[in-house]
Amino acid sequence: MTERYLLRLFISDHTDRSRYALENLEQICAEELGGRYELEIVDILLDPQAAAREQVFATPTLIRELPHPVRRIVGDLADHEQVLEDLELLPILAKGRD
Amino acid sequence: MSEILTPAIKKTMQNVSQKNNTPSPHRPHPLCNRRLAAFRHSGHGDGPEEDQLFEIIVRHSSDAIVVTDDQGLVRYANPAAAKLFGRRVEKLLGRPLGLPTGGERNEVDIIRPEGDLVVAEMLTSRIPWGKKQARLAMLRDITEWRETLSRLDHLAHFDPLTELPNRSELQRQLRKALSRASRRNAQVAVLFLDLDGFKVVNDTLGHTTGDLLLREVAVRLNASVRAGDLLARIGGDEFVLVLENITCTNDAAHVAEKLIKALEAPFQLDDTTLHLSASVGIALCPQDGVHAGRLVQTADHAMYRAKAAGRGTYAFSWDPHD
Repeated sequence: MTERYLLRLFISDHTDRSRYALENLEQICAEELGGRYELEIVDILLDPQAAAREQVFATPTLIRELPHPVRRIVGDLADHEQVLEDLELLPILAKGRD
Repeated sequence: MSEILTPAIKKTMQNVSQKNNTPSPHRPHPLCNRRLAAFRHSGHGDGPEEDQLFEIIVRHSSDAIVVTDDQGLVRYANPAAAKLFGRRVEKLLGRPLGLPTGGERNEVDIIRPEGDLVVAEMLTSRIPWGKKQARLAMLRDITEWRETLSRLDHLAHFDPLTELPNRSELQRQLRKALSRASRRNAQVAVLFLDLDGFKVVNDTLGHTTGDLLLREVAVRLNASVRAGDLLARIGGDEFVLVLENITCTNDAAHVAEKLIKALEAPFQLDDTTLHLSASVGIALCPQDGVHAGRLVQTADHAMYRAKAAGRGTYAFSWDPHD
């Protein structure tokens, strides 16, 4: 069975950095995850409580909520391979492709 | 810098990890020992011992230094990091910053407890942490630099008096509009508006009044166009309006009439009441060309036809009665 990913991206909507990270993530999802993901975008300016609850103190922060364990990275997500590696999506992806 | 600081951080991490009873990381790099020896022989050897030296460097670094473990939890933060994040070091330790990614250079927004955002440049690298790997992030506050860049970028593309796009931004956006129109096989109109007698206002009432008048003109023109239409100020009293998706020449003529009418009501500037009119020239794509510069030039020439026809009116680049 192919695993599905629940990804949550915390952004500060008006900044170029967040826009850039979102573009990167959308590209990664489209090219590498092939529809096997749910993506939630949380704008910390609109929902500061969510940032406090999740202890997010820098954006862009990307959290892989599912599958467990939770993985979390911070940065612009420009290095797609590193994003996949740090979120431990590559091995799962490779398994899915077998 | 990284050659010096990486062993420095290793050493500091060693101190921290020893205090935490975690396994000792690697020994300092031999190059680092040679530098230390050179440092001591240079007459500065009365200073602190090696153990303390690196800790002093890291503790006094103006750049924030953060180390996260392989789970993204903060394992080390220097005082500059505490300052940058607006939290005490002990409030950072053990918290889930996340694995810093991005390699060479990255920019992030730091959310301080009060809710304000700080832009930080972040450089990351992998470092050994006991038997595991850790992530080193060096961060620097670049908020002011980013704001300056943002202001310069705005000045490069927008007219500071009216806040409308300037000539270069008009060209850039017009080129995009023409590409869209070409794909959709749609028409685009370029309206070139010049105020009648503006020079007299400047010459008789001064540039301050002239500027006030231009601002008011921009406000009225803006209020007369549709959301999404491109209105720019490209020179002293010259404005250009780009209309996308027009269906016929009458659409452009109708908008030109609307602009002229918008400026008919008297302008009240401090104690002065001014009556103004404007002349508008119209060029159409693809009839008059498909290149941005050429269309603006053609509309400019048409505007002179309108002025010659008696001012306060509009003209196409060609005579529709011909």
